[in-house]
Order: sequence, then structure tokens, then C-alpha cells
Amino acid sequence: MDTLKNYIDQNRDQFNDLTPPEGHEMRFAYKLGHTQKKRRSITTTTFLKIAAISVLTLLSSLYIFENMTNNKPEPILTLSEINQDYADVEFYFTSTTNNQLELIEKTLNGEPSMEKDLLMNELSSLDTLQLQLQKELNANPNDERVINAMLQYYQFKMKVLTQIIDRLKEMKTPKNHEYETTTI
Amino acid sequence: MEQQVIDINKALVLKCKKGNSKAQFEIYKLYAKAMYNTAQRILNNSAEAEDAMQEAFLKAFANIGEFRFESAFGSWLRRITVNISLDYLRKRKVVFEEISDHQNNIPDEESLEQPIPDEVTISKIKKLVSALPDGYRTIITLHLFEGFDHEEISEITGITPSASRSQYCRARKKLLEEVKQKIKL
Repeated sequence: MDTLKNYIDQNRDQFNDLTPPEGHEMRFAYKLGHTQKKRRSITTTTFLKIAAISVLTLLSSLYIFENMTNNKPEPILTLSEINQDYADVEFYFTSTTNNQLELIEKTLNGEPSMEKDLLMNELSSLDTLQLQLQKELNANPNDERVINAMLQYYQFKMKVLTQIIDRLKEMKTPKNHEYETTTI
Repeated sequence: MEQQVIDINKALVLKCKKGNSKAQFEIYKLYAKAMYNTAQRILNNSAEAEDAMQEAFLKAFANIGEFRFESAFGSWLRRITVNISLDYLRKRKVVFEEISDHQNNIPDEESLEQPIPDEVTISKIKKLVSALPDGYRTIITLHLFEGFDHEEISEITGITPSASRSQYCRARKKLLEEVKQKIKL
């Protein structure tokens, strides 16, 4: 039996009576907040890269389709000009995706400019592809394959943008910072 | 079968596992003092002790997925605090030296059982422990105050269990000699 150890065990509270220096809680709250911000920022960066890759994948698929069809330089034609049913569908998709793009741009304000530019550039490439599809439509206005490709393009674009918005919203909402209002 | 320890702060720890920062701060408030005392005893420097203690909390929260209630959360956190404090000590080039066989005279049980003189007070022991050289102070702290056995100290510091036992006995002897001298003065 170790008498010194027993002595310390019996008086443990008195050997643990030091308190951390004043302001330690505030300093820790800062470090904790900083660590989480850093972690969120890494997640955002990773997500933006994934989003850019998703857009690239979509672009590649559509590019392959586009290359399988004839590409003649013609005046631009839209689905609206083919018939009224398509016009309604096209209006729905274009107004929705335009609103989505505006929202993404607004949400990305404050993110690192490199990541933001990367995503916005990839998204603007979608417009180039849309233009190419419209040219294709102009060349083959009654070709259902082209019309379907156009509709698929709108659907994919809306789906990708919705996913991007959802993830950005999720990351922009602080998980829990109630402690910051706690008196310390 | 996996052993589960009933932890009074289990609900809070579970929230920490979900990344709840309010729960993390609550845990900090609950354990900060105890972890600070541990770090301070090893480092003997209040600024470094605060840094080491806070780093331990951040590391614990970052790796909380590995904590499976097989021990009390406080014990798990204490082990992290000790490891980080020792890293700080190593930066000061403190080496936990191995004791060669001829030096390795482990004091017998009798010497450990010698009664503590009545004149010894808690504040005297604290003062003298903090005045011990880094190596001795660390072994004394790990064994006496943090409750690690010599096998655990061996894992933590990298010295052999017998070297830990021997260093502890030498440190203890030195400490009691100092106490006696102070009493005489």
C-alpha cells in the first residue's frame, strides 16, 4: 500500500482546486467556433467541386448526344415555336431555372471567389449547350429525338440546380450556435 | 461482450457526437477545471496548460466518433489531455529516461508504506511537486494524481513499466525528503 497515494486520494478535491485563467471559456468558444467554421468551409469547397463535376458530367452526356446529330448553323428556334404545349413546358422550365440560378448566385456571395467562379462558369456552360440544342432543333424541328433531348436538358438542369440549392441552404444554416448567446 | 460504462453525461456526449456545439460547450464547462489541473500538473505553466487543455477538447470533439462508452467520457478525455500535455513537454526536450538494470533498484513495499508525517500539508505537497524536475513531476503526476498504473504510464511515455516504477519511487523519495527538510526548516 502506498501511503502517499492514499493521502492524495483522500484529499483529491483539494489537489484539483486550480481554476483555468480568466477568460478561458471565451477563448475556447472562439477556438470551437473557428474550428467548426473551418470544417464547414472545407465541406462547402468540397461540395462546390462535386457540384462542378456533376455539371460537367451532365455537359458531357449532352455533348455526346449533340455530336451524334448534325450540326448546321441555322437561326435559333425554341420549343415554343413548335407548338403551344411545348411553349408552356419551356416557359415553366426556363422561368424556374432562371430563378434557381439567381438564388444560387445570391447564396454564393461570401464564398471563396475561386470556388464560386468555378461553379458559376460551369453553370453558364449549360447555356452554351442549350444554344447548341436550339440550333439542332432549328435544323430538325420535327425530330422527336431532338425535342426529347431539349426536354431532358431542361429537366436535368432543373434537377442539378435544385440539388445545388438544397445543399447550399443546408450549409448556410448554422447547425447550432446558441452557446454564443450564453453568458460566460 | 463489449463493456459499456454508464456515463452521467451520456446524453450530452451523444449530442456532441452529432456536432451540437452547445453540448460541446457544456461538456467543456463540466470538465475544463479537472483537465486544466491535469495539464497544469504536467506542464507547470498556466498558459501552456490552458492551451493543452483546450486542444484536448477540440481533439476529443473531432474524434468523438471513436468514443463508444467503453470507459467514462472523463477518463477518455483525460487520456487525450495527458497525451497532448506530454507533447508540449517533449517540445521542451524533456526525455523520460530509461533506467539501466543496476540503477533499477525498485524500493520495497515497506518504503512505500512509511506513514506520511503529520506536518505534511496539501499545499506543501503541491508546492514541492511543482518544484520537481519535469521528468519526475510527470511520473508522480501520472501515477499519484491521474491514477495510471505503470503499464499505462509505459504506453503513454514510451518507457518500460519497470523504469516507470523505478522513476516513480525515486521521485516519491525525493519528494518526501524535500517535505522532511521543509519541516525541519
